[in-house]
Amino acid sequence: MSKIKIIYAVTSILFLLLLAVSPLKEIFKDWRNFQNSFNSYTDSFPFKVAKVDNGLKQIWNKNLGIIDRCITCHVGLNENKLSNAPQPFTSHPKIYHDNEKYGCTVCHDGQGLSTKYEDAHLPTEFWDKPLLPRKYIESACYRCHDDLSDKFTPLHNKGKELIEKYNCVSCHDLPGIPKQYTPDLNGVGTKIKNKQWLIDWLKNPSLYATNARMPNFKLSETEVTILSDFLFSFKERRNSQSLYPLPEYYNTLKKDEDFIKLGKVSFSEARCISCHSIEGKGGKLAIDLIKVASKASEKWIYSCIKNPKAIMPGVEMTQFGFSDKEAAAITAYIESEFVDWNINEDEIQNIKPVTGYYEKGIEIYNKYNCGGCHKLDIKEIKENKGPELTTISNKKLYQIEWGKSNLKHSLYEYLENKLETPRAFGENTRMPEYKFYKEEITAITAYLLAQRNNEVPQNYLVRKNKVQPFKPQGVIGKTFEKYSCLKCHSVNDYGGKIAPDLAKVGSQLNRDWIRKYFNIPYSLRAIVEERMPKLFISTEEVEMLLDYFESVFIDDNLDFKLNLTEKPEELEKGKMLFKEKYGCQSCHIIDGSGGYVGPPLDNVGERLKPTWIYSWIKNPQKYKANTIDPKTGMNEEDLLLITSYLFHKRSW
Amino acid sequence: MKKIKNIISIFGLGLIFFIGCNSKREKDPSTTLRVTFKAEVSDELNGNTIDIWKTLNYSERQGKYLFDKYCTVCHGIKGEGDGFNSYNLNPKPQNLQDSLYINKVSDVFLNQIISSGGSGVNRSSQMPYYKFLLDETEIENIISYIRKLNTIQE
Repeated sequence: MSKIKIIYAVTSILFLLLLAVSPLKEIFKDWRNFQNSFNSYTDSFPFKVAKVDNGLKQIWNKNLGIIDRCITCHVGLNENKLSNAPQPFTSHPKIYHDNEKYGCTVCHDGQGLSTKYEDAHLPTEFWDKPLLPRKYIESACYRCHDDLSDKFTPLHNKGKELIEKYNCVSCHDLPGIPKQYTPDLNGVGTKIKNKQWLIDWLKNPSLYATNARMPNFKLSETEVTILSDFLFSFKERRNSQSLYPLPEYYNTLKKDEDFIKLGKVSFSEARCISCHSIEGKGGKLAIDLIKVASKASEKWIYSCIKNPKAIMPGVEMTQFGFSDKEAAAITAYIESEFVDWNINEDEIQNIKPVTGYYEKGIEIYNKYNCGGCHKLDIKEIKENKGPELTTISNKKLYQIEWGKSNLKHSLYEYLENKLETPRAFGENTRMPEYKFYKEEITAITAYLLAQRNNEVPQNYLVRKNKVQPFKPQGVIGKTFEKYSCLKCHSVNDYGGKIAPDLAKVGSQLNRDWIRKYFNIPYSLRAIVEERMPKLFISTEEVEMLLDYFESVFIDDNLDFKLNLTEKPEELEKGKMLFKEKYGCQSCHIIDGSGGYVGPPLDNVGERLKPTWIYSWIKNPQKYKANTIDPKTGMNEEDLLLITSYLFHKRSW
Repeated sequence: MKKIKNIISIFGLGLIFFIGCNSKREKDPSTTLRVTFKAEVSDELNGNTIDIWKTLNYSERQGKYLFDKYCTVCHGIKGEGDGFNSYNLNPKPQNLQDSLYINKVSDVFLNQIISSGGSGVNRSSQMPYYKFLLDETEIENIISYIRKLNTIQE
């Protein structure tokens, strides 16, 4: 035999051995161990659980382009009895989707094809989408759905609220988020009392007010001086609208006790603290008033009370029907009460402007995109936005500027840390610092992770009907605008969330009751402190609004006849049903006793129309989707008896 | 010479094949980077809320949402029977943290009392019934959360 033949024989045997290695490697893979231990685990399990056949398993969803081998190890996914078993054998919680049909990575992300623990779950160098942490899983719902209630996606919805609140859209493009009101800076020089306040505010807004929405831009000492000089030079208001002059008697009366008392009475009668807070107590809709007199000039406060919309275009504050004297008295009251006593008078001196502050001021103003929030009518202002976030969740990891961070590279970690310390990624980043709680960071991250292009096929998308904006025209539109009704109330879900929806108010409430309520608003529920402010509406306006309610805010389905009984013994029967059978009294006050959850029902016949009472009891959720009033499934007879009983609860 | 070339090429091929079979372990990225952040954002939520992501599973979290919405007005946030409305009720709402009570009753009984109210099990009719409002899974979720109530500390 020649040598060459021996060499060939040896090499071919080696080759065969090498070929045998790869199937052998497959035999010793982890997932086989998992399947074997699952089978032995089920032996010790108290319930009978079907054993699994050894082998690679996968879910293939052709439409979504998904091949998921997760079920190779997660073998007990659809076995309800295994809800407390250790991972990876735990059963999947009951959800509305069949995992056999949809696959796993469509919601959870991760590398579906992999059968190795590290590759499938963790962030790796070559896989952009590691497994989403449990708290962020709800952002995956928005790949198909577009609007889900708090029940399903509480974090995401909270994140959306926060993004609205902090006005992120002024620098970042995000779809469907409305811009918030922020003060116009034209004429800020006549609004702010002293320059020192402006300097302190620009240095760190949260030192002045803990709940200030303006973030800390971390401006340097010189930048602050230049910017304050620059802003202070704007004395002209927009459209040359000047501030209202204070009445002549103001200066003589402003220290007068009776005058201040009148201001205090008007202040509390109008219920300013429905929206404004004073040292943290009161409404959260507007600024805290505690130090306002040290910030804004008297003339400005007076004009703001008289006609807020004229001097702050776009503001949501209602225009109250105060007389000049009342407005001046309130100004005097604010001047006497809401002063920052810590201000050192000596510090307030006229600081000389820096030379060339105007040009440098514009530069700083543009650099930090102040114009995104605050309007200033000079033509040098340019838009200088941050990156758009519409498809942030689609971003590849290499597209992100990581700086010198020590993160395990994944998008959610980037977002969390960017929100926590915005300037940590790179030296040229401009994003200001917000003092978010960790909870808030999680919520905002959950919302941002849901911002992506649709990758799923059309037939998977679930789209809700968009809320139709309610924008009445003409006199009614002007009245709604003047009193900012839609800041608190909504019409078919468009508007504020604080007060009830008005869309069916004409079929719900009696005209006389609404008229009285406009005059003396009160809180319906004993436990709720918020109530409508007294707007001092004129009688003509009230009648016009009532006419409008009765002709437009109507539900035609509530226009039917009810056979209500008036017999005393039947009413007594209704009372018995109300109190004994259905236990309504545990939530509602009637005859002076009962619970504080629902509105009191004494005199309910004066307030509500009978068809509304009937329909509400029949199906409360139909008229207010998130009410906790349980649907009782009452029969027709009981329903009529209780409606009659409640309808006769009135003084006439 | 030719033979040696052949041998080398065959072994070379084999080597390439063998290397191809071995997957390369990546380096841990955290060892190569420098800056540390002042606060790592972890799973823990701050404030007074419990860390629902660690302590509760999916159905219990759903149950918590429903419990907070419908039950807390009377039974209280922790289920101790001290909700703001409990002061108006007589008899007082059940303390769901009471281990004597909660270990005694079965899931079936709890299901019955939630779906058919107090009157369904011959107790006070002040507890309304929820069978027309909540579906079976939702009630099960609430029960699984109630069972977890005593383990939750604030």
